[in-house]
Amino acid sequence: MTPLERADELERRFGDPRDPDNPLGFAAILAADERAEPFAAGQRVLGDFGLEAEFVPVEDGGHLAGLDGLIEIMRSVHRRDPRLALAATPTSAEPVAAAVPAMATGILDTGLRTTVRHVASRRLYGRAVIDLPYIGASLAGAFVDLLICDAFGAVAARAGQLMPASAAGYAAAAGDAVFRRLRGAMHQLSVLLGARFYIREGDHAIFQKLLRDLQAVSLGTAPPAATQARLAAVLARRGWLSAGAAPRELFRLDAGLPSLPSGPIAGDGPDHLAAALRARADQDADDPEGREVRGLARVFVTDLGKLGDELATAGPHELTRRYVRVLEAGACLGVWQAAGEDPFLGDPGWLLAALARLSPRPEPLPDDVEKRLSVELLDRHAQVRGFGLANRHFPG
Amino acid sequence: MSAAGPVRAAGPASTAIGALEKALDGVAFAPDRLAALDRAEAFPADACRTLDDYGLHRYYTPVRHGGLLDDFAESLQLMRAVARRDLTVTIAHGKTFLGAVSVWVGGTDEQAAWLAAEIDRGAIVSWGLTERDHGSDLFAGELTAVEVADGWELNGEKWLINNATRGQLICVLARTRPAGGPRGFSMFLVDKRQLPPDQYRHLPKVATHGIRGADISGIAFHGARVPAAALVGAVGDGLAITLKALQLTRTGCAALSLGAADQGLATAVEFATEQRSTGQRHVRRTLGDAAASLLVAEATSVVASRSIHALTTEMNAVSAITKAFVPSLVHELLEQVSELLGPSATDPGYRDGRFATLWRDHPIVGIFDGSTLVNRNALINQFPKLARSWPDGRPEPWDETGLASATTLTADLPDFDPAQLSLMSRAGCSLVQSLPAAVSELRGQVDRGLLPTPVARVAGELESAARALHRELADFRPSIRDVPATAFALAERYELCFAGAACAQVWLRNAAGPGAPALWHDGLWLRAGLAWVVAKLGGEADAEVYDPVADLVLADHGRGVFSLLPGIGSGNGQSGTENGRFGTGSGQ
Repeated sequence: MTPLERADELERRFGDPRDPDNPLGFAAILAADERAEPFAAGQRVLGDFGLEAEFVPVEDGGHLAGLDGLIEIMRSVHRRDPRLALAATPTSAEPVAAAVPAMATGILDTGLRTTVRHVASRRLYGRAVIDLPYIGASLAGAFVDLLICDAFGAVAARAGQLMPASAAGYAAAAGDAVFRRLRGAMHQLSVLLGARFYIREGDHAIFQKLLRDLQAVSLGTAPPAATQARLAAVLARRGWLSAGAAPRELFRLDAGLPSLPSGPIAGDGPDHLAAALRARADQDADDPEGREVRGLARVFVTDLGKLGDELATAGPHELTRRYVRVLEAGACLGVWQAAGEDPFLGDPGWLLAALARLSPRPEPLPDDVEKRLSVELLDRHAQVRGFGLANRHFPG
Repeated sequence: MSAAGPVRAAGPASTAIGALEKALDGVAFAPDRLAALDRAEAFPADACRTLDDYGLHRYYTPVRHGGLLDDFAESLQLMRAVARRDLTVTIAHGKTFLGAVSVWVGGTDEQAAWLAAEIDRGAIVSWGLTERDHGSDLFAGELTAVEVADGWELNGEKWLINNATRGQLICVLARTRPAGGPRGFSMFLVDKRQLPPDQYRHLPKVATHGIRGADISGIAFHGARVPAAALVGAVGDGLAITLKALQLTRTGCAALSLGAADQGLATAVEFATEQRSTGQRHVRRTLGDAAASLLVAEATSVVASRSIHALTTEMNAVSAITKAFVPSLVHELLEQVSELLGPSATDPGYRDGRFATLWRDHPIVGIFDGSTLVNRNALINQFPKLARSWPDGRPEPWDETGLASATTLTADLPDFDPAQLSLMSRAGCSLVQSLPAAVSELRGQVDRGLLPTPVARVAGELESAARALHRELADFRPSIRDVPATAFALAERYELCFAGAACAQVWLRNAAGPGAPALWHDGLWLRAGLAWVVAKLGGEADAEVYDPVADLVLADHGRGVFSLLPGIGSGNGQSGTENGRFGTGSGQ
């Protein structure tokens, strides 16, 4: 089986998490959580599935070849019970650690799904809550956040494999940015859920568990003080000045990867994500949306220039958040450029939304872009597909 | 300008708070004990009894009905002191004020006297507004009251009600007109002790994410007969009474967030000190930024609470702003602290899990009593009148007397008159309307060397932001059904302008001269507060100002609560804060 097929196989074994009779579903996960016990039935599934072998490189007899398959497998774990994932990471190999933020996006997938279900079923002021413009815009925003996290998480993980000698900055940035964005998005969703978010029973109860787990996972696996210190060091060395074009495989999520490096990820080499933005900012565009992409790319390039100037007076720590936004934008742009004919990922809608959200002065999404995202979100929800870049089918 | 410095530091308020702080140092509030109760999801009965012994419940009844409530800003600080220890206890105990407030706002003197006597004897009063399927949509409430011989019959249930089970009394919003509508609901003060057991039942305690020991449950009425005297106000007054009562309680909720922020900031300082990271520039920036935001929240909350007395007709807007703004700000503050703490933020073993618990508990403040979204929506509904209060980029005259009274912290407050509360008031927002005048006063102080020059720039940015905002408000076309998402961003900006104006006025009306505490030297807190607000509005940051603020936070460590105001609290058995202790100022 390919890694993606194995990820689907794991989904099949776990089954529909919302089925109340599923002994591996949310009801059972929450019951274990209430007893303050590990989810034993889930641990058994992972054991039978052979999760440990997923972390062992192929050359050592395991399954681990590229990180993208492992990310999807671990996403399936995270979207159910992130505590299982904490128990299931026996490796401390840095290239794998670089993929942890991408894996954790499974949490937001369930958070978003839970919220969509809620607002679709509830009425307020005489209409379905999901039809209130603010609610629709917030859901679309959380969807975009998930896509940004997924794109940046995937690129950071791939960089660790493709160029281990120079990808440490991306790994630190992903640890910092992805987790903060996931926490922010879950908070926004909690506001939409209102009192239901605060209740440990009923259809939404998984949300509060995932929120707690996200806090523990993010502050535990990527302690902000450590990641930010590392990032500040990267920033101070101004690697974005010296970058050439990135290898295409960095952004082509279906492209194969070389075998996993065994050593640590090092360095702070050339910043290919900033380079992708710079190239786009200089490129001709003949259609309106292409011009819009170019305009937004220029916004980030300009901000990068300012960052360079401000480094002279401000400490790098104050500037890291802006820098990681540039990296996030570069990752999204790269993924979109490499997505080709993919009807959703190749369409500029999600990219424009992502860049607008990441911009130093965020603007509300243009109506038509928000509409496209909302349609996609509700389609995927109705068809039980994942909200991430891979757009996978889930059981249920 | 006042000569004596802000706040009646030695007045009755600080005496009451000092005595309360002593009570809070008792064994019932020991952190390990509260942590054990939280783990067991058990009601903090001993802690509530300690508050009863102190007499906190007497502050839930207005003085004119025999209680001690005559200053909502004092109540704010009392509840904040409790919230600093434990949000569950504060919410469990403070609920009686929420339960009773409908009677203070809409009841007769006889009803109020009776209820006051009950509260004085220790009765717990609950408030039944929300229902299972309607949440914040009060117009959709299904619990009915039908007039019968000698009274009313109630049928239906209220759910997610704080103290629904433990309370002896409950104010219930009931549908009295089948078609509902603005005049379709009435308020009833129900005495559960007078109901036969078959006429009501309690719904089970709901397992909640935070405030785990609180009695969050519900009550179902089955043909419950209540006397005619249970009706509060006239038939059909229920929603109006509720919305007026919420103007008081929503403002009061700020106390919960301030207490949480106090504890969060203290934890951050303690952690950084333990880690010996207080010398690191970014740690100090984080502490300074968090402290500045706390001061903004404090200035906003104090002015809002005083406005209940002094600008009563404006409370429809002020309460919505406060309830949306302060909990959101404190949410961010706690996020910042959690990033500093790293794994300790969620560790139940770190300082008895106090931060982990408060970080988990605090989001409830943004949910109950009208969520952040509900309050922003309420503010958006008032955009037309707020836009009219600034025609052509220049504010209309405002209530100068009321504003001075709300912001001069040493000034006596007028008695609160519930009859002045209004849902339809055409009054704008005096605080925001006064902003350009306040900014020119600040500029004058800069010119006279009383404030450092950067204040002129940030104050100017704030004024420009307010002008731009009002231009957009003027273009806003209201629609109850289709409030655009962009309106919520306008509401957030309005809240920030309000908060910035609160900082400006508190400085202008209270700044003391030599001898004032260090936070007031050279307008330090004002500069930091305005910098924080302007940065949130998208303006240019003035982040250097956070460094001296961090110095003061660190210098104060272990000495008490970090606050603009003297004598408001001493943390956990610690003596009063240096920076909050005023000397004899000479005025400016």
